Amino acid sequence: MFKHLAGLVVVVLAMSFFVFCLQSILPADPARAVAGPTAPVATVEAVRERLGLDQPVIVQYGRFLLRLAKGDLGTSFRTRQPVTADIGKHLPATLELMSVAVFLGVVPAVALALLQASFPRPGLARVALIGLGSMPIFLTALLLVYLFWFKLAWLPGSGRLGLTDFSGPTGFNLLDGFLTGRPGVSVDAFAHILLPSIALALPIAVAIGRTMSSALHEVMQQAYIRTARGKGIGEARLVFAHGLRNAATAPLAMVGLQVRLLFGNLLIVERIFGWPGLGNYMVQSLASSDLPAVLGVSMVFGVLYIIVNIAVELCQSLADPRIDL
Amino acid sequence: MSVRAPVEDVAMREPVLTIEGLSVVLHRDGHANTVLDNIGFDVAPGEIIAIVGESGSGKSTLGLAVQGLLPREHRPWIRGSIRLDGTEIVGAPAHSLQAARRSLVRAISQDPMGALNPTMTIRNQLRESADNTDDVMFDWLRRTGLADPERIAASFPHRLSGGQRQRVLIAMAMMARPKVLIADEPTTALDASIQAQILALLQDFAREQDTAIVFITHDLGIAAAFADRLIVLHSGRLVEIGATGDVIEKPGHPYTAGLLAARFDLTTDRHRPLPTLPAARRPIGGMSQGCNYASRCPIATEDCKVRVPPLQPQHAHSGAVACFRAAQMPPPDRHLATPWPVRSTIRNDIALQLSQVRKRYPVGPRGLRAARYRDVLTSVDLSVDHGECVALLGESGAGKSTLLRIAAGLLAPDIGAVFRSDNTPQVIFQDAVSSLTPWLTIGEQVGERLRRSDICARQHARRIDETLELVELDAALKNALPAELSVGQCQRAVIARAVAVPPKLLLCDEPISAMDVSLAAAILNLFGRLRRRLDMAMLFVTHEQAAARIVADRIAVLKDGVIVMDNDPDHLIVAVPAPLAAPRQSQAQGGVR
Amino acid sequence: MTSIHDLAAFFAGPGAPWLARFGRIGRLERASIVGLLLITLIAIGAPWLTPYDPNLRVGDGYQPPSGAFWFGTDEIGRDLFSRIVIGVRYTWLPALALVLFSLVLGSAIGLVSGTAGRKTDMLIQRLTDLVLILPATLIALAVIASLGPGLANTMIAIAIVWWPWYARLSRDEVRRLVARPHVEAARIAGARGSRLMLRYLLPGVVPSLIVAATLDMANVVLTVSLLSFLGLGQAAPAPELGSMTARSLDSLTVFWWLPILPGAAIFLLCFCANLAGDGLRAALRGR
Repeated sequence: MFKHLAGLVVVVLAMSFFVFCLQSILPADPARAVAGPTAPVATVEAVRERLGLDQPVIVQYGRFLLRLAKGDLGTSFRTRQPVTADIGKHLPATLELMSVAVFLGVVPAVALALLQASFPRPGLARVALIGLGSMPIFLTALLLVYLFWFKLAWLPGSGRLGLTDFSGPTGFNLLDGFLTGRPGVSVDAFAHILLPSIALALPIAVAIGRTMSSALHEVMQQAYIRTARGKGIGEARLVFAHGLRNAATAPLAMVGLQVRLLFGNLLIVERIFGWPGLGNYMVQSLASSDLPAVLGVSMVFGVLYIIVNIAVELCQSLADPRIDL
Repeated sequence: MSVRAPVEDVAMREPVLTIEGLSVVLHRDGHANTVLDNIGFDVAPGEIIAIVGESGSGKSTLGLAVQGLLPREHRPWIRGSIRLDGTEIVGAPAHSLQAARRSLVRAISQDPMGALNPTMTIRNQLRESADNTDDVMFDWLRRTGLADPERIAASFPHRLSGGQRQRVLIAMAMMARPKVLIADEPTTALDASIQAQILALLQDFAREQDTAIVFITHDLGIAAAFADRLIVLHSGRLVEIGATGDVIEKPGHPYTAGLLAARFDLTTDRHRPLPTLPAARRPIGGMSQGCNYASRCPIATEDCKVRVPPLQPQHAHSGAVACFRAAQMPPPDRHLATPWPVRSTIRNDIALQLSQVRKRYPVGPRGLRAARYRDVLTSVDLSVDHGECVALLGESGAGKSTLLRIAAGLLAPDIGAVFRSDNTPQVIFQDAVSSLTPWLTIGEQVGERLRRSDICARQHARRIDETLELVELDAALKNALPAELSVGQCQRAVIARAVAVPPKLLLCDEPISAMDVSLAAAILNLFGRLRRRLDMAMLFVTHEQAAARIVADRIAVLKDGVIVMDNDPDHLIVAVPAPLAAPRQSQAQGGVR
Repeated sequence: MTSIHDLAAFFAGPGAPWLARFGRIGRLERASIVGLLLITLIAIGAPWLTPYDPNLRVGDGYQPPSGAFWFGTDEIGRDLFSRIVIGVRYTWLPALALVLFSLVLGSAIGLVSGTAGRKTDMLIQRLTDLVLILPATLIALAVIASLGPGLANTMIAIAIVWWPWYARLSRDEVRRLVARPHVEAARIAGARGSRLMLRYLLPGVVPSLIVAATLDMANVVLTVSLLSFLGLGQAAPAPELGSMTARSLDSLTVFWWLPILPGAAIFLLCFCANLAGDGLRAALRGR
């Protein structure tokens, strides 16, 4: 466990250094950017001094780290707000979407892989999976919107809630509806989250499903499965009691990998569905070259990614007694 | 078709396993391969029947067929009948096969390391085997010789040694009180001392529980010591069946006789080449029209090549033999070969010397704290003279391979000195097939060592041919890739690469341990011939006493990190510490003599 | 476990082994390999193959797909089919170049890392670890945000985060090979240095790298199109598949072909690449 926390620190340091380097090699002058394009040279120099940009690079990095430790990611050029505050505002929506997407991706994938191991039928299913895995995320999202919102009008096609002025204690609308005694809000939140999370879940489900299925396939040919089969155990129990846990390592690692890819997809899905989360914030910041915001969000995603990976390794060591933490 | 051996007290009873006209076809790489052809025999309750054959004889497939576990990915096609205690296995629906596996037939396998689920405690795996209370379970574990069953039951498999796992597997099989136990090479992966204990355990259970054991092995010696009856399988056909003593003393089939002659043990004459069997050549599709052994048989006639000899009662013993010429079998002659020339090299000229060599490896988790170490070699003194062959004997984990790697210069000792008269000693590893690069031809690989010497292309080619001839490998094979070669041919190619430029020192790491007996004999002969002809010093690492005795001038025994004995082979056999020597010797003598 | 013996079977085998193995690939996979070659040819020849000039107004705006305009026309009347063909060119060729670059650089670094001493190996490993553990898309985004958008910058950004994966893969494969007796045997037989690398190691590493690279093509295409969707690809009028979709998002409900068809083209590319990679893997490993 100690090893992982140390790893977390190292990675945060590496991320921060990377981000810092990017800020430093910028073609644009940050002092000029803060002061505004029409400010006189003297003002720019004053800003430069105030921001410490006239100091040696190593001092600047030290200050950058100090500010980072205090949770200060700088000020957004676009919203003129501290980036930390902006992130705090958008993070719950993204976390909610991510959690639902990962859940919707993993559960059916595992179920299908188990089903396939019990009733092996390759061929068509494999090609269909490859096909689903080849969809660019915006195509999936567009098709979903087109079909379920425009053609069928079953589900809302954008936004997070029908209401405008709802805010709950946790920021997760799915929970807050129940917590504040308004289950209707939760239902509405569910209707809104369904389409974007399905779009995000699809690539996850395909990747997990394929990994799980091939891991299971491999496990089911091991000698210990033959031993168990020799004991007269039924095929279903064989898959569940003996196969599942042994096949868990690779799909778990794949969850970690997919979360990494999820960040990129979040930007697009949140943009298409008008989801008021970090992804949308990032897209808008990108469009207006708002570097502090872009780097701040990257930092947050990086930390999220590392936390997910620590969780993955924990699960792996739970699944396989041979893996030490 | 089935033949009953007149072993008293078992012959009278209704057989528990009856196999009739069993044929199995498996598909590999798109080719249909007849793996078993028209096999038939009975097994009585409590009887131990050994199925003996070389690798590829179909013996493991037979074991799987009885359990109804033929590998699905090879699309098995099966004909004939297997009746287990009255239940037909061939063509049975899944649920009745499952029921048969639950209560009638169990198996223990060759590789105890892979046969237990790594993510499930022993307790849970045992509990799946039969509905027993914990006490009964512990009792079974204790009966297999595991002293602390509570701890074992609570562990995951990776915490147990190979011997412990095999005992757990035996307990797992036996606690279901099966009528038939299939034991597929249950001891090959284990050390000699544990081998004997496991076999004794199986024997006890067979008598006590009245469980019939189908014992599958490639080692005629173990089979002879262990089984009531023998079945000899050759290329998927049953060639001889009979009571153990009869088959061993009066083999009716030339193949059985050949196997017996090629067997070597601690009493074999070590001053001349071993008798060998011609190399196995499996016909395409698995079966030939005539006798499968005809191409290897010294007494085959034209008739043998066109007709399959039926299994007929044997005149010499009470069993049956599938050979037209069983009556014309020549009497066994074990001393045909001319003796090795007596060595004339001057001693006291050292080729390899290790003095006070120590090597240790870190053990346990590597953390911030100081690593703990385990001494693999404490203080080893060993010397090999020019032209001399020293065998290094020891159990698995004794540090034999580490010692060999230090001798070869592949590994540096922590303390101690290594002297070599040859700075490029050649090494032959255990697994010949994976010692050859899959994408380079045999000629290219043998030629690798010739590259440095300044010779022209034509000479280079001729040297390769000569080297291949030296190791008795067909010169045409120089353009072949390793995958086209048999195991024996691969080992010859590896040896050819080592001796293409004759080294002064040849180091061998268990070069025959994965081989059938007949092949091992041929390779041992080759080593014997080459080292005398090329005047090489040899260090031959092995865990098999018999092989060590035959190949070496001197045997060194490695135990607990030191050389505990360094002696003349024939003296050693008398003096060697008990657990290492006893089992093999007693089996071999108890059986064959 | 698998690959050495399978490789042996692959390189050996009777007759023409490569052809025989190719024959074992499924029909669909074979078609997709041929399809990929065809796509590459079309991408190279795209400027001469398009029915209309992709940058000029050739008809009325917002025409649905028809005989004259196979995929319809866009908001200012340019031929969508021609634009998509050019878009495929600007997606596929850079993706190919990028994967080739990563493959060569990565496998070279991997070979060095796998055969060098422990210190060098450690150093290279930590470095690749660091890049590997950072979310690739985000790093690419950050780089582009700093360098400014444009095809070259996009490619540089992706390349920065892409090669370590190949370095890791080839290093692991080399390590696995080096642990095999046959490499040690070759070393004992006197093969050293570059001869050992090129003759005894590289041929063992290349097949799995090629499979990985083929399967990776789809990932690169998806990443390129994702960045282009976010407006980080080429400047606006250039026909890029991702940005074509992004620009016409709002017309989804009225003129569906405008956002959907460019996305479908990306889908087709990725589908072919994934199938081809799967086929190659089956040929090399056997499923």
